[in-house]
Amino acid sequence: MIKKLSLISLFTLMPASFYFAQTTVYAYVKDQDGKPLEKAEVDLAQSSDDVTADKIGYFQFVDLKPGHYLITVAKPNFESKILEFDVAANEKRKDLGVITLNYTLGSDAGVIVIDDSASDSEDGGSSMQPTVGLLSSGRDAFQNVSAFELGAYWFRPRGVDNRFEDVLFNGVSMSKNDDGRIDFNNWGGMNDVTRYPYENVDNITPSEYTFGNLGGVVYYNTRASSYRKQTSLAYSFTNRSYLHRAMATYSSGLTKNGWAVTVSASRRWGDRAIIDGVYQDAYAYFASIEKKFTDRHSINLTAFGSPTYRASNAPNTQEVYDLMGKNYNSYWGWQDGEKRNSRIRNVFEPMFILTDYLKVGKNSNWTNTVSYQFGSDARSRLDWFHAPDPNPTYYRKLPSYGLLSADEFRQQSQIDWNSLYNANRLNLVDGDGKARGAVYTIVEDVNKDKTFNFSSHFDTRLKDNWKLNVNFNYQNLKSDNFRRVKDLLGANFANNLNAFNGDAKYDADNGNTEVREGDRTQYSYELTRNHYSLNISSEIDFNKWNVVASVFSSYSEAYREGNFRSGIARFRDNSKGKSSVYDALDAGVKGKITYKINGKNFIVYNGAFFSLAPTLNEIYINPRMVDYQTPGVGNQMINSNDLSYVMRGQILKLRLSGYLTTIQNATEISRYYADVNDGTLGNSFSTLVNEAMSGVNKRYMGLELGFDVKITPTLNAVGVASVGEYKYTNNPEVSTFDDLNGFRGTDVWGKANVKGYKVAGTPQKAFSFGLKYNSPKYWWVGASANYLMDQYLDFSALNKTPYMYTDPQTNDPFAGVTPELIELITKQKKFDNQFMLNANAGKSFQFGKYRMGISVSVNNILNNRNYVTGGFEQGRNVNFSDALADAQRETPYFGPKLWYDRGITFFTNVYLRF
Amino acid sequence: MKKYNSILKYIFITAASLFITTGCVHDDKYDQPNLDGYDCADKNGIVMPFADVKAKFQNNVTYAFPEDTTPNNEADDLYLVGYVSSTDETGNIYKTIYVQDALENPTQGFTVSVDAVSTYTKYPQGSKVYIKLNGLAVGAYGSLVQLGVKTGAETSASSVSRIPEKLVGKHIFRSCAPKGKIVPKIMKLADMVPANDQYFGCLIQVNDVEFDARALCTTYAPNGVTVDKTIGEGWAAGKYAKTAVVRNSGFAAFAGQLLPSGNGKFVGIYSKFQSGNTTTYQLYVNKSEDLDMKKFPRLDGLTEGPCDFNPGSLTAKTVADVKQLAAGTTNWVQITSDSYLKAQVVANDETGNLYKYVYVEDATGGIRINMNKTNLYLDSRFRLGKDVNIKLKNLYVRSVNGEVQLGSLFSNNTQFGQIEEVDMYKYFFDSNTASRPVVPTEKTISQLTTGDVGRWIKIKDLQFVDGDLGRTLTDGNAVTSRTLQDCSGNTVILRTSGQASFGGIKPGGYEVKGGKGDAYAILSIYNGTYQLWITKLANIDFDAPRCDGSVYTPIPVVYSDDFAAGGFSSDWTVKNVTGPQVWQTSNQGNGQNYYAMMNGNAGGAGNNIVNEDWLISKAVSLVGKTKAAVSFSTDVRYAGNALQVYATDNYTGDPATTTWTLLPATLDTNANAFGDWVGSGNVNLSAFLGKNVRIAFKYTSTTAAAATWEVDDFKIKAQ
Repeated sequence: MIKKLSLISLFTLMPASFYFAQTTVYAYVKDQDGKPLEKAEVDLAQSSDDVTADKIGYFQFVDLKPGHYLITVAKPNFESKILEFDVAANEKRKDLGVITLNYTLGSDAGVIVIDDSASDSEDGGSSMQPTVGLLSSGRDAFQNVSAFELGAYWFRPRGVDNRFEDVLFNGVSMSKNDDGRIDFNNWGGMNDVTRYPYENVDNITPSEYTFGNLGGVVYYNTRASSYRKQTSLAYSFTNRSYLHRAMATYSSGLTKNGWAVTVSASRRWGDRAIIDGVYQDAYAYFASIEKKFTDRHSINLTAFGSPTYRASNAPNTQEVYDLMGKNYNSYWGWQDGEKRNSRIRNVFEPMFILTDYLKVGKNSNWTNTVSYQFGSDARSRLDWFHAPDPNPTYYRKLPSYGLLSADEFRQQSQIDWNSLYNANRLNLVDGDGKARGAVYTIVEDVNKDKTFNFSSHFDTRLKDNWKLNVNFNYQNLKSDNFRRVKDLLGANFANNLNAFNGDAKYDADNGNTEVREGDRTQYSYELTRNHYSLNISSEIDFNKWNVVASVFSSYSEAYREGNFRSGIARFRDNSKGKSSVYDALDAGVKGKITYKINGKNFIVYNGAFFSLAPTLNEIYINPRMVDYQTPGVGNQMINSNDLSYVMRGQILKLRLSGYLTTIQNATEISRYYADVNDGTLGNSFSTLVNEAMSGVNKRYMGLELGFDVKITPTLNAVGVASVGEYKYTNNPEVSTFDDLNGFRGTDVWGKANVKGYKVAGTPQKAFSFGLKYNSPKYWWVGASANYLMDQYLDFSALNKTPYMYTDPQTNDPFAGVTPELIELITKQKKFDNQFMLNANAGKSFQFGKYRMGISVSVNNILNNRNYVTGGFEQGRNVNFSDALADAQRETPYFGPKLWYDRGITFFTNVYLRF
Repeated sequence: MKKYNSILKYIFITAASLFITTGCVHDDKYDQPNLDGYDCADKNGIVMPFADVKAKFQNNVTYAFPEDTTPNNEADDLYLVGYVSSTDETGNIYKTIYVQDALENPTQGFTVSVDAVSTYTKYPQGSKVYIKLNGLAVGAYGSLVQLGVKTGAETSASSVSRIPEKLVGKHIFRSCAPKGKIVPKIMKLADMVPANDQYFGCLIQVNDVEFDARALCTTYAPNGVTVDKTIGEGWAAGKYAKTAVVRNSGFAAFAGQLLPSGNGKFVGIYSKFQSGNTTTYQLYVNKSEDLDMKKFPRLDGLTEGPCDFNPGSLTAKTVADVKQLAAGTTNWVQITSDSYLKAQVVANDETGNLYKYVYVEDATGGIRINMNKTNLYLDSRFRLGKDVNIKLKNLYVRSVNGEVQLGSLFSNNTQFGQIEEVDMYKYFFDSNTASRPVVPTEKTISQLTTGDVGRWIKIKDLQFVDGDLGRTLTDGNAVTSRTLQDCSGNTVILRTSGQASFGGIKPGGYEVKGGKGDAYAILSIYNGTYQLWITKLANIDFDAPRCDGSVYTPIPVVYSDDFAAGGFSSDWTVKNVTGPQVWQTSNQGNGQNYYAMMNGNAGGAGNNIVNEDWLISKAVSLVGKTKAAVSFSTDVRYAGNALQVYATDNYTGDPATTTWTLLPATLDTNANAFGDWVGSGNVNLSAFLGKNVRIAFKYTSTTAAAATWEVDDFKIKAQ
């Protein structure tokens, strides 16, 4: 056994026992299956000595004087265990035996939020992206609760959105280059193999594998041998965006001849979720195979992908919810006896990762990874040509508009597929018998990314207490974007013409404007990006201090290459071909200083100061049509600092943090479908509006408190308070691009008067208190009360510009404009505070080598349907009198479009592992 | 136990694999629905012939068909049965469905007014339709008889409203028979006479027609604006034998396309618009592909398509080159070289301050181009910021009162002036490029040179001179000068047309801004004096404090009367000293608004009467005030004594015994016209601070001359 002890155990602990020759207390930490648990933290009460279990789960305390002791053994994703023992006067060695830690269960509950179909829609804007906090249970009470209790209600710690978070697979960043956001779909359903991140740092804490960002880093290692040898089968039943989930995973463990294999597959499906007309069918595959050549060298190949097919639900104005209820979804209509949804997302972007693990010398590791990801992400929608908007909730069809009564609205509240087919059928040919194009079609916005990545991680231990990490990364992205005809709905072909702009050709160099199913239509362009980054970090550990520093620099270059020349004369020379190259240089520094007051009390400071190049999405204001760069786009400057007091006692664990983050010179792009007119037209068209704010400054500040009290060894009380203020601190410049008006810059819009407006997408204040009973008999039950405050509506910048109330002729406000009226039409909507109750329970069983668990979690038990999970203002090109009239209407025609919480939802899970 | 375990395992595996393979979800594949008989009907009711339905409209009064009281009995329903002759797929035909009584060789057409767009998706051209008349009504618009509904909200007894969208499907039924082909009825423009009015609503074809020269190289319609274009047939004595109007909507999908420039076949809906006794035969295009007008030569002799601009054989000239041609002479100079000018439109007539001309500019300078056409800004060639290509040969340049301008000759080539609309296609060519921002040339007043004339310039930190404060930008509808000064005291004239959207004094007249700011304007010159011309008020947005640091705030109005109610209120004292005529109020001749008026003429020439008449305001307190002024506007017509304006703080009840102070107010001086109201500006009342002031208008006339004086917008301001 001694032979197997790791070097660290020998060098750090043996000499101590030799010098002091007092009692040595030791034990082995294992999991429920009897597998050793590496890196479990063992905390000795009334002492500053913490030890960590080594590779075989062994730990020891060497200098214990006689007395009564209490230790806490903890490891992320496992339930902590407290042990009491006595040390007698002349005991040389005391064996505490095997300490078994149980897995924390119920962590599946959070994961399913990722499958929210609302985020599939372009309408979703920025606010509906899940946070990586959901990916795993964090290490402290605050992280756990904010992820699983508050996270279910779109709470984001520190107001940081998905764009500022990082997820790495073997060093490869999963953030999409186009918008910087993480697309969880790429590994959705792979919960078994992504349950335990290799590294998980919060907020701005430096990571060993990358420089990171504002919102923490989650690092997965897909190395086959890192998965415990077992077979796992699971089935879940839920009422969220799907009904069933089945999942199977097999891991071989490392065989004698150096091979290890892990495979996993799952399916999530169902078509009667809470929201009407939402259905889903998603598979996931994962395979990882490793060959260990020597103790110092392994190669691992991983492939995974999640072919996902999912229907979306529409945001609605309050008027529509009042008429139809909160489960109403306008995206579907009856066809073939089925609820056919017009908005389908179909995504499959498999990834292949080849990683080479090399140990260099005594203290160094060099890991090299090449990866390639390709595939397609397609989102469908109805399209129409020279016809009215078939959307049942088009504002002219709403009862408030006065044409239809509430009953008449209800009668036409779903898509009438037959009438769409019929319009096409009646117009297959024109009066002269000549074939003519479709009136209605379904088109898909397709994104085909090809990402090649090379990353290299080198770590070494310069001294026992001094670690050095070097990370290099190169990424090449070719992103092909186009619209495709998905379904002609019975027509012979569709016209590739811009009905918004005098039937101008979308593809002017092509004489043929007829497009058929599978053909590209309306837009087609490719974005290319090369990105190089170098990151060096180092950690030094002293008795009382621990210091981590991380620096990085990166260079990126990007360009657009259009395939279609716009038939609109003024965009002729900016639509087709290669654009100029946009390059950006970034740099930054992060640091963490921990002061150990004693073994239980710490003061931790984190600081970060770095620049962040704009994403492709931010560089080009409307890449679908032109290569125009967003005016004022540039690197954002981020400065973030936090200071925490951490207490890790046996009874009470607590963290209190204060943070202040400023973001300067950000570019914020919103793309949303809105009813737009060009100022002269009486008609408005529902078209995609690209809205950019540039030079945006924001400030995020607040306090976080999280605590976990062991009231009894089996009953925990967990509480969290997050009190933040996230707001805009300047008036940024605004520009827009839409099909009807083309580009309109700051000379038209001026600046958005948003100074003091709040950042949307998360409640700014949240509180949670929960109790959890952990029976020693392997069952638990818990409940939490959650209170969410200060949630604001995502605003449309152009609604906040002086353009709204300024007479362009005089440059002065229109007659009758008063500050009160401006306030009425521009004030930011704040949502009501909400109370939410969650509960969960579970039990695990052991039958020999078979282990079975069952759990159920229920969110929003009180079925509170008043919580707004996302939404956006409709950004219309209105003049003051129209906007005022609408603001003063009891039910505005163009009120904000909202998504509401789905009310009571449950997730039950049963698994079998052996 | 072990057995139990493996059973459990197998149950699990079996269940899981069952779920995975058989779990049934939408597959996103759908069969095309069978739509035979969908949303169509062939009705068995009483068919009313077109002529009978039209005949229900009599004596200019709408006829409403009785409601259907027996909804279950189709047999007694009244139907108009016809074929849809129009299509609104391009949006040129808007909220109207035209029908005719046969697919081919119709004898009648009709117009159905519906409150619905894109009706072609349900009733495509050539569809047989049954229009249930019960509940509908026959009326007329522009004397065109049409079918709609009577809601009671109509403003005239003869009109009908559009059939509401939700009722369209309840009244108009598409036959289940496949649609047919409408064969357009061939007509000549010469056939467009009252005897053929029964064809209104029919699809017609006119052969061998062409758009007239004014329409050449223009689009169907400017964006969002409905316009009339003219087609002609036959040609004799330099003009078309017969013309008709083609009415195009700026909302049509093809609105931005160029009109076909050749001769040939026109197909459209036949209609008319009548205003009073004037009947205009109008044609509506369904879609631009229906027009086959490509043949040359045209009737007017044009032998080839004129709209392509090919600079290959032309010499490029600059603005400076063009201006140079007129140097040293005041005569007009014809441009004879095969040359062209490419320049950016830097100011146009959008607000009406510039009228029938635009300014273009290149790197070498700017120049005014005169054209005999209004609303040039709607023409895509003259949009602000666009480059326009100008073929110069046969145009003329001339120094007009010192400013070199581009134009043509008119009046039998005896005068220099505007380029005629019929000739514009010969000279102006759309560059089809995006508008560029108009970049002003920054100058100070003292730096202005004749080389800057015609340019769009910016002068920083200007303000209106003190004397212009409180005045509107223009006096009435006339072109008016105001004076701008910089902080060194240099001045420059600002000229503004009373016809501009921001000109005039009522309504919509703008008082000049009292602050300081940057001015953006065209620099013009008139006999050696520089003049600025703005194109919108924002060009003189003077919001900063004035040169002396003061912040100008308009003096608050403490008393005002615009006589809007008609008649004088008790605030006014009318004193008739001499003559039968007295001060009264009127709203004749100057729009609907009332104003005060005094006229010493008893009707007709030589009927002038001696008059002295006073209009005296009530006493307005200026106690505690530090600043005070009176302002009003006047309009004079016919020769006569000038109106006199007085003030007093001690009115005795008799004008003759009152001590009056004569006020130096600016009055209208143009006695030749009504309607050119002139603002007085703020007339200083500082002599009356702390007192109660009355203002009096004293009118006098003689047998030799008696003017009509009108006074309005009376305000006493104090602070």
